[in-house]
Formats: sequence, structure tokens, C-alpha cells
Amino acid sequence: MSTKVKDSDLSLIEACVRGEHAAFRVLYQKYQHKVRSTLYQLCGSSLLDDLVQEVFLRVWKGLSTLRHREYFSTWLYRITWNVATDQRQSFAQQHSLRSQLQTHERGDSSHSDRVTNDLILLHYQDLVQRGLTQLSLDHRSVIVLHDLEDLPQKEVAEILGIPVGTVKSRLFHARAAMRQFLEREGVQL
Amino acid sequence: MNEHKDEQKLLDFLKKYRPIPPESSPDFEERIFRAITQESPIKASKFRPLEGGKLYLFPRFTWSIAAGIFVALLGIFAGNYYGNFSAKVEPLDDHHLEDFLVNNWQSTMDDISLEIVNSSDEN
Repeated sequence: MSTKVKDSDLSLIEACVRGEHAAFRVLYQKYQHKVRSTLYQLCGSSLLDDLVQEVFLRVWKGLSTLRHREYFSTWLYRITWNVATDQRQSFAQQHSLRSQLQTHERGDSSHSDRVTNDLILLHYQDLVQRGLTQLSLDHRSVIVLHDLEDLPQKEVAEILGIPVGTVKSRLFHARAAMRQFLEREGVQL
Repeated sequence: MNEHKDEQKLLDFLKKYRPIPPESSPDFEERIFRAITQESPIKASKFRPLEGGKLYLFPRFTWSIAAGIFVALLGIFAGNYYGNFSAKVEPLDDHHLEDFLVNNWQSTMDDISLEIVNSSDEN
């Protein structure tokens, strides 16, 4: 998702505001991967489908109120962030339960995990996911939006409603915490 | 310089091994559009949007109503103030009142006596 949307997106948004479901389907298909990926990195897999649905329902209901349609993607990320924070409490509990289950699973198959490259890939993905989980939501958000989704710091600041300086500061601390976690898990960077 | 390299290594690692979300269920898209069919887009006046990080606390018509009430209250206060100012009457002291009555009475009597004189002259 870029900072400003293209003209084709603007006409899609116009059509959605007129109530055209077909236009919204195109918009959904274009952006759902980003929304899904961001929500997964922020909240994990529990209730992921429900959260994605909630985001697009809010988008559908709120599109007519969006004045600066060229900033649709920033607005969409903002809604995604709001949905993620709305679910923060329940997700925190679910994450801790899932982490415990995953720890048991890893203990059972720790030798076989390193046999093939595919399993090593899965292992590292799991590490990054657990590393994100152990961060606070504030720190996780800046890592996900800036480092993983490649959004500029200014846009991250707009999405989260914080100054750019705070984004920089949170990035610094979040990366430090992430690095410490990965090193504790035996990753050499 | 080393710090920058280390940071880049960390970012590369995170991007390479970023968690991939599980695929949605096959009927997920249809589920969303069934839900959307039941919802119509909300008009601007009924929704408080977040645009570019700015929160519009109240719709504009609310501010118009507030401004109208303020102007009306201002009018009432101004009316009261100037109304009281113009209705204020300085209390007269007794001497002034007495002089006024005497003069008034005297001039009335002068008019009557003048009328009597005139009428007798005509006769």
C-alpha cells in the first residue's frame, strides 16, 4: 500500500460510496492481503478472519465520510490498527496460551526441526512471530508498520496518532528488544 | 557504521522470516459480502470519521447549533444590559419634586387666568 492511492482506486472508492458492491469487492481483493498480514503480525491467528471482516465492514460503513480519499491506505491502516487494539486484551490471553502450546510442540520435535531447510524456515518464522508477541503493542506496531510493511515513519506517525520522534524512539527500543530476544533464542545476526 | 550494518542485518532477518498469515477459509470473501449487503454505507452526518489521523469530534451541524445558542444568549444578555440601562431613573430629591409641582401648578393657573381675561375682553 502506498501513501497516496492511484486514480483507479479513487474511482473505486467513489463507486463504493454510491453503494456498488462490485467495486468494493475489487477494493477488498486488492487490499485484503495487507490487512490480513498486518492483523496477523499484530494479533496472531486467533479470530483473524473475524478481525479482517470487522476491518472491511468498518471501511464499507465509513467510506462516505472519508474526505481525503487519496489517503485511503493510511485510513485503512488506521482502521486496522483500531480493530487490533480493540481486541488487545483477549488476544494477549490467547497468545500466552498458544505460546505455551507451541513450546511443548517444539520440545517434542526440536531435533527434527533442523533436518530440512523448510523446517528451519518455519522455525525462524515462528521465532519472529514469538519475538513480536513478546513486544508491547506499541513497539510491535512500529516494527510491523515500518520494518515489515515498509511504511514511512511519517505515515506510521499519522496512523498511530503520535509524533514522528516517538515513532523513532519506539523503533529503537523495539528493535533492541527484538534483537535481544532473537539472540537469546540462538540466532546470530 | 557497524551499528547501521547490525541494524540492517536485523531488518533483513525480520523481513525474510516475517510471519505469513494462514489462508482464509474458502467462503470467507462471500461471508464478508453477505455482511456488507446487510449494511448500507453510513452518511457523513451520522459518522465520526478518522481522516489522516485527525479526529472530528462532532459533526459540523453540531457546531452550527452551538453557535446559534451562543448568539441567542448573547442577545438576551445584551438586551437585558441595555434595557436596564435605559430604564434607569435617577431618584429625584424632594426639593426638585416640589419645585416641579409648584411651577407646573403655577403655569396651569397662569393659563387659566389668561383664558378668563381673554374671554372677558371678547365680551
